[in-house]
Amino acid sequence: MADIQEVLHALSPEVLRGQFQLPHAAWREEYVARFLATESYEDMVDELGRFVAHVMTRWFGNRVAWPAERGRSTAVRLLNEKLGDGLHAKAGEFAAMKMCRHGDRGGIRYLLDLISEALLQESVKQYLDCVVLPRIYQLPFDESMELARRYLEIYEVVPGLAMESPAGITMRWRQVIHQHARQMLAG
Amino acid sequence: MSVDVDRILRLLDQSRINRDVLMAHDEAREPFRLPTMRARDAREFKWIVTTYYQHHVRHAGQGTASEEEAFGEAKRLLDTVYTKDPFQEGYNVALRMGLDGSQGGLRDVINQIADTLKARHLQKYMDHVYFDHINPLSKTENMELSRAFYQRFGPVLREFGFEVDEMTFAWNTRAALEYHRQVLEHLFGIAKKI
Repeated sequence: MADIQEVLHALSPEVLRGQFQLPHAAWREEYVARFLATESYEDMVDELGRFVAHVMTRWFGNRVAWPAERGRSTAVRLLNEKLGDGLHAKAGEFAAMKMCRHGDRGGIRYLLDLISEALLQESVKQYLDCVVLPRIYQLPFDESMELARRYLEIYEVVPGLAMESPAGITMRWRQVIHQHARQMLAG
Repeated sequence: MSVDVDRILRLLDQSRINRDVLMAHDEAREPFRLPTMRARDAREFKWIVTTYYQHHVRHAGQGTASEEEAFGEAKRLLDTVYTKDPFQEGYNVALRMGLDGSQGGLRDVINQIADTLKARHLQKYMDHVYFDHINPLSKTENMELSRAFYQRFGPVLREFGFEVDEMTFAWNTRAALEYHRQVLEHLFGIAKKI
């Protein structure tokens, strides 16, 4: 039963907001961009890379080294993931460059917010997959059913999935907790 | 008298609008640091919202606002942004977000203030372009503008909005120019994907 309580606590909106959303918001708030529009691709990637390094240093402290090159490559990967079209490898970078050149949607400010949001999603995903999910999977089946029942008592329904039976939830825990976290952080 | 279509198009150019109108608002938002991610109580929330509003209008070159003015305007703005039904007070929704950190928390509230002020400024700019440069045109000049416009953008406008023709454009210039802006944004979106 203690395990069930722990899992429910780990999924509570207070934990998700307090441990992930608010710190990420604070790190974005701490970072002030040096410029909002630029003609240079190098400058854009450098600025975004500095922000990634800033977030990672805050996140991991001094336990992990974040050289500038690593920050830049992470920023480029996130741009292509978030702004890309799924067909062309560099579509996201081109879209970002266009925003920076003309200052569309706020230029660098928008891109920093986008990267901050992407890093938040990655950290929540890692937390769910590496911390919460193993705790659920180690439960025996009847406790897993009990967890699903208790989950539905608190939240009534899995947000966005309209799944109401504990048996259905126990078969799709991964999908359920990811959807749950998305909804908790959005609303 | 001939109409200076180039001048009107330059005023409506997205890069120019970004540079002259919108960027100032992003430049005002970026250096502002929230002292906390969660307000302690309603009083602190009010103070943060007021301080930000004053900071924003000062940095975006829109004058200065006293504490009362700033709070009044910020409250009015939040009431509009966060009201989802006529019985709900938007300010209270924002206050709850600021206190418990839900829906993006205090940061989202401040970003909404910045983005709404930005959108209002854009609206004012479009009004200025219309009332100062297009509205004074006579009917003949308006037709001339419409013809010149269609000589350049006819194929594009017909492709994306077949219901708009030269005559419609001349009689509804404002709506047509807004439509033109949307078509350009749409085309930029397509070009970006290509």
